[in-house]
Amino acid sequence: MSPNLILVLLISPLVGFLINGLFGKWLKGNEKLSGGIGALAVLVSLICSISAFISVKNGNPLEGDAGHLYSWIVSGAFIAGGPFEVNIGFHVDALTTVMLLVITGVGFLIHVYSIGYMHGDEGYTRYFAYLNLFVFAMLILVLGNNYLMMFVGWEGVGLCSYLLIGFWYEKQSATDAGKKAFIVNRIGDFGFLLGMFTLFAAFGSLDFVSIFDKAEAGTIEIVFGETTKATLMVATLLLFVGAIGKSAQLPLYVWLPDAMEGPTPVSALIHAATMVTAGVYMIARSAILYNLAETGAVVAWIGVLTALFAAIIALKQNDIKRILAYSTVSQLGYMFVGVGVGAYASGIFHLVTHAFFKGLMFLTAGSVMHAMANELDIRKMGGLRNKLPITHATFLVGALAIAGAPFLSGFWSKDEILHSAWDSFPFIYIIGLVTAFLTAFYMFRLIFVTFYGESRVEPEVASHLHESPAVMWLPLAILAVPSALIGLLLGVGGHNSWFHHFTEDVFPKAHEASGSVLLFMAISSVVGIAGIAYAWKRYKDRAPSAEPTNTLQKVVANKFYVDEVYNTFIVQPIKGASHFLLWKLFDSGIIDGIVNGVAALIRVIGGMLRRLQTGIVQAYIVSMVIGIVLFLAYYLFFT
Amino acid sequence: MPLEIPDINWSLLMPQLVIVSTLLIVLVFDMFDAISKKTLGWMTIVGAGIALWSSIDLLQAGTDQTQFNEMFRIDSYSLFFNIIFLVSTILVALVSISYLGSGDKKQGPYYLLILLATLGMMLMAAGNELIIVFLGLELMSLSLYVLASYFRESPASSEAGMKYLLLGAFASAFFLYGIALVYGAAGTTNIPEIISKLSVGDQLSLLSESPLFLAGIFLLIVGFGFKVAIVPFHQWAPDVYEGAPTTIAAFISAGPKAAGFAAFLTIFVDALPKLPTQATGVIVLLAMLTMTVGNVIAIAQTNIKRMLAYSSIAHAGYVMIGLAAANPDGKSSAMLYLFIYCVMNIGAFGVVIMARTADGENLMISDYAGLGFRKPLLAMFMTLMLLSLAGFPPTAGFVGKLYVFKSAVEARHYWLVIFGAINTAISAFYYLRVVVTMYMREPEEELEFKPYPPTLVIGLVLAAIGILLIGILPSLLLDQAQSAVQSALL
Repeated sequence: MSPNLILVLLISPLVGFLINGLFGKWLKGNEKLSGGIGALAVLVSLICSISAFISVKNGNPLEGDAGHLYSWIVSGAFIAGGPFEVNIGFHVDALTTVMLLVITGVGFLIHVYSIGYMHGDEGYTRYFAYLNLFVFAMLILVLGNNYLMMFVGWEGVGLCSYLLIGFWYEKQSATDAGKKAFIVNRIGDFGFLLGMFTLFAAFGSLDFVSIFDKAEAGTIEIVFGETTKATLMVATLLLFVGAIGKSAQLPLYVWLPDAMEGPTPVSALIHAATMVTAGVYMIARSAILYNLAETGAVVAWIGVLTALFAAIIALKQNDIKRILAYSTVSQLGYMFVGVGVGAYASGIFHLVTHAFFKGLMFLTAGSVMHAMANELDIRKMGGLRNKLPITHATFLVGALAIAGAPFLSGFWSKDEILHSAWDSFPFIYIIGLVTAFLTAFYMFRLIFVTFYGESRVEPEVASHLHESPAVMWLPLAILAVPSALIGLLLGVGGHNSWFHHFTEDVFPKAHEASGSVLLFMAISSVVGIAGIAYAWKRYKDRAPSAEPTNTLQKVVANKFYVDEVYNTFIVQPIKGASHFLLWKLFDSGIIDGIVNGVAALIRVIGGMLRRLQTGIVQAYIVSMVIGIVLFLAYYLFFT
Repeated sequence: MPLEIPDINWSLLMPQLVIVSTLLIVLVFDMFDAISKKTLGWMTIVGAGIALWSSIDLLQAGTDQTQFNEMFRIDSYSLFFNIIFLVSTILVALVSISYLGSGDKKQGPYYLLILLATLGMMLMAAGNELIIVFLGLELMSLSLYVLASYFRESPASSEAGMKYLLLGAFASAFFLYGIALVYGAAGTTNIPEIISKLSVGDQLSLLSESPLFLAGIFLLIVGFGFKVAIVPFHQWAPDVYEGAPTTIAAFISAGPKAAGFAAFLTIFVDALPKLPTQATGVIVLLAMLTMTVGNVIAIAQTNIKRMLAYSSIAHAGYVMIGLAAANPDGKSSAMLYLFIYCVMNIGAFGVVIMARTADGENLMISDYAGLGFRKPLLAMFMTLMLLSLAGFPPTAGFVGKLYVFKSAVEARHYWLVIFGAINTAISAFYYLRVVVTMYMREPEEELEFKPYPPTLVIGLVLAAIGILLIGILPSLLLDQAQSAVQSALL
């Protein structure tokens, strides 16, 4: 595989961004052209990704020196390990190509869908510019052969996410949500930065290959604690803080549900399929470090607790996109369980299947909103399956997949993760199983309330109910196919499946999970079907009650009051402190004092300098001569 | 004594010869009224372009020779500077074509003088001999004095030219006096010979401590200091930049500064290690003073041309860091910095020209309020140039600063680097203030902007591409600068 292929892959969305970004004014009148350019740019990347995938499959990855493009900065020998180099290069192996296919494949379909969904929006070209820029940043994140490039992409997708959440910036809630996402992510990114610094101090490099080689050989500078392991623990946990922020895990998940303020295709692409999985990708990429540091348990526990917590909250939500958002948080938790217990391939496999079925469900949710004049409350829906048959069918496929219905994609990937967890972490297995039941329940609650039973649609809206145009339902139909079948194609056979073979060179060998695969599958199936059945019993013909009936329900419906707790104990104190300490005391008192003092000083000096800077040439000459005399005195006499 | 005609290899002098021919052609064509005035600008661009191409050609051929009895150097060092000068000249000419317009103003002399000044700069960079350096300096300066006062009917422009002339003449006198003293002490004006006379074997020679010689060297610092506008010899700069036509302010702030440094670096990077330590002390002190005074006063400016003037003073301070490092890395990083500085500074002045309205130029920073959304292209260019001037990655300005600082760290001038870093932070304040004004302030009145002239946009696009390309791929240029310094060492 030549680096040129990857360059084309990477640059294409950037070109799309530049065209839509710079010439938006001229493209404004022509939506088809603007959206077409955006989609085409990603299509080119998709084709290149397929080609890269074939190369890797034929045993021809792009790694090490072959992927090196050039050294951005070469610095002197500040550190013991030789000159510090910041390299720009690509690392394309099985893991990268899997990510590439997800990003460009799902990305392309979502671009096509957006052509219809964003029809008539004021910021049509701006939208496609941002979306292309996002794809570009995400590609940098997965293509880079070092942590710095990963960080550049990491920040790039964060910026695009911020811009797209706040896309409708006239809406106060949208700009607030954008800010919230940005600020919460800062916390995570700070951890990521510190993690990078630690790695740099420990290895004298940020390149994947050199770090992993040195880690395996044990040539690590001890930065923290007594042992190399302690250093690696610090580094991996700090990197994990970054992943917690970006992938919305406990306790930093709060931004993701609010991020649903953005356009729905954005929720599908950025806040379900790709960006939020960056943390999982990062850990999978650093698998060697996590194995050596043995910090996987932390990752797995955070993951499973997040999965459970978010699933519980999802039980009582009535906003269609928020249910999906909490479901995303919960499913990301599963992925972290996978990579945490050392089953990296399984975690990434779930990332892939989730990208398809969750992307699909968000797009169908968009289709519902499109039909319902942007109504989000499922209590005002009901009986939609007759009016929106395609939407209903595709949503059902997605829901069955996530609920773990036998033989659909989510069934295979989720089962693999749970199975791998069983041996070393039986508790995690049990919590995961409970979560699986809850997942099936809340997802089918959503289905039954929305698509079945009596119609509760307001008459005015009901008269306009219509299925979406082809440009929107076609991507749904296409996404439904992998959502249903990808597990059957790639995942059959657990550790001997195609997917595991494809990625076996990338990840450290996971131990074979014990116990009968079939038994575990049977348990998972029963749990999933039980969840669906219970949902059918409760919601087949009635809407959720308007008000929670007991305290527990109320707590859940209010999302455990986490936002309120954060607001009371973190946001307000910080605001208060910044108001009094930072602003009143420090800023007004000290800084302004200094600034005003400096300003006053500058005025005084300026007053004196103005006398010099009179515009009178003689004065300039005098000041030059004074300067000369002073410097000459210093120069000749101070030896 | 029979007159010896030295063997001259004319092909090595191609860049200079092309410039001379171009200026003669411009001179002749200016006499025909039938020729559109814009044609002269294009001729200048084509001529400078050919000279640029031949410089690159000579550079790639690895030319390393002297001509005219070792008075004139054609090596990768002087050729690298040729590229800086010619790129600046081309950019300035592109910006000038629309600025001068097709009015009845005489434009022949304008381009003629720009070309003459360029020739002077090329002489300075190629001078292997103090006399040649002085010759180049004067050729360049005299052209600039006239150019600064080119808008004769504008009192500000005339005043700018007058001031520049008086102060420049004063500085030239110091410079010449310095040459005389050095000649008196060393017995030669050939730069490599002077430097070799400073040491005998590994020991420093008596010459390096001779007061006569040191006084001469000091006066050379003063002369160069004036030309590159370092504090306390900087006072002409804001007045001249403000009064001169904006295109000429861009020109003066770029090429001539690089030319001054070209000669400055030639002499001092090699000489400093062989001089008493307080010589380095003076350079360090001047660098600190220049950065700090430039940046602090720039904060107080409300006029964007004056702000850019003080900013360009501060940038001379950053280049001085590389000079003070006095090692090969310092030299190559200063060369890299000068190239980057020229492109981004001309770019910034170009945007100032772009922001013209029918009533004239908008020079107050407050005039830029709200341009972010009303004039996205203009605001984007301005933002890019300012980010680069402030030194943000991935622009070229970041790379330039990084390498200059790095060379000083290697030379163990830690305080200088700390000063440089603090100054970078200070400078970010006033650069970003303009960006904030553009994107976050509402304009007080709606301004009617002139449509963008295509040549100006071409110039700015070229500058923008250059800034991003060097920022992302610094080795394109850095390798050239480093090999130029390396070849000089061998």
